[in-house]
Amino acid sequence: MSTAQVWAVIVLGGLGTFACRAVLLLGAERFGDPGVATARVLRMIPPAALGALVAPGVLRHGGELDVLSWRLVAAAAAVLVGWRTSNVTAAVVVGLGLLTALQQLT
Amino acid sequence: MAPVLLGVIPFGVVFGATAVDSGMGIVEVLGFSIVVFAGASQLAAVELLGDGGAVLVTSATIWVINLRHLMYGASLGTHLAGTSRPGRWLGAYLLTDQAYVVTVSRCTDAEPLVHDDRVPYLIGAGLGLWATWQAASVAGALLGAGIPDEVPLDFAVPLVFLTLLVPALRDRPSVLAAVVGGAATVAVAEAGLPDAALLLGALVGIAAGTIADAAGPSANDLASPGELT
Repeated sequence: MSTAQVWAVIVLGGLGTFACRAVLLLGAERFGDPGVATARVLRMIPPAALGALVAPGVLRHGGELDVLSWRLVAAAAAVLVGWRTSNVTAAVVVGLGLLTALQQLT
Repeated sequence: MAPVLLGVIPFGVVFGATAVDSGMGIVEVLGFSIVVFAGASQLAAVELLGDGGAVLVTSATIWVINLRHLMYGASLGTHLAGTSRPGRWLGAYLLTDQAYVVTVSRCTDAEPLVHDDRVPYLIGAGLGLWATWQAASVAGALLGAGIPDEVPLDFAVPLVFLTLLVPALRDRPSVLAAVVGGAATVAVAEAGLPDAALLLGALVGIAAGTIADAAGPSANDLASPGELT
C-alpha cells in the first residue's frame, strides 16, 4: 500500500460519500411534494435506520452472533432509563456502567 | 447532544489507532476524517488497505457503507425543502447517522423546529460531531494501541442510537420497521456481508413498515417523542 493509493481511496471514497449525502438532501424538492405513498416510505426511514444501527452493536460481538450477552441486559437497562427520564446521557451512563460492572464480575 | 458526542469519541480513537496500526501516518488519518468523514466506512477502508486491499475495491466498500446517506438525504430533504441552498451544501458534507437522527427527530417532534432553524440545527449538530471526530481520530493515531479495554466504550454508540430509537417508535408500523430492520441487518451481517448490512437491513425494515402502514388502519400519532438532551 503506497501513500498514493491511500490518497486515491480517500479522494474516491470521499467523493462518492459526499454525492450520497448531497444528491437528495439538495434535490428532494425537485420531485415536488411527496405523495401519500412516498411520505409513507419516508416516515419509516428513521425507525428502520435506527433499528439497523442498534441491532448489530447489541446482538453481535467480535464479528459473531452473540444474542444472550451482558450487552443485551445493559441495553435493556438503558432503554428503561431513557424511557422513564427522556435523558440520553443518563441512559448511556447507566448502560455503559452496568456493562462494565457485569463484565468485571463475571 | 453531549452523549452523542461522547459516543463518537471511542469510535474515532479506534479508527485513528487502527489506521496507524495499518501503516498510515497522521496526515492520512486526518485525510480520511476530513475528506470522507464517515466512521464505519473509514474503519473498513483502513482495515482493507492494511490487508493489501486494492484502490477500487476499498473505495467501493466505502460507497456501499455510505449509500445509506441517500435515505437520510431523502428523509431530511423533505423537511428542509425551500431552505438556504449554501447551508444545505454544508449540511450535506456534515451529514452523519447522528446528525441525521437528532435533526429529523427535532423536525418531527410534537413541537417541531421552525422551518428556518432546521438547516442551522443540522449544521450545528454536524459541526460538533465533526470537531469531536477529528480530535478523536488524532488522539487515536497518537495513542495507538495503548488504550485500556476494561471499559467497553464502543458500546456507547449503539446505546445512543437505542435511546434515540425509543421516541421514534410512534405506532405499530414504525415498531415493525425498527424490529425487522434490526433483525435483517444482523442476518445480512451473519450471511457474510457486514459492509452492506446496515443499508440492506434498513431497506428491508422500511419495506416492512411501509407495507404494514399501507395495510393497517390510517396512521395515528400515539406518542410525543422525548426531548433530546
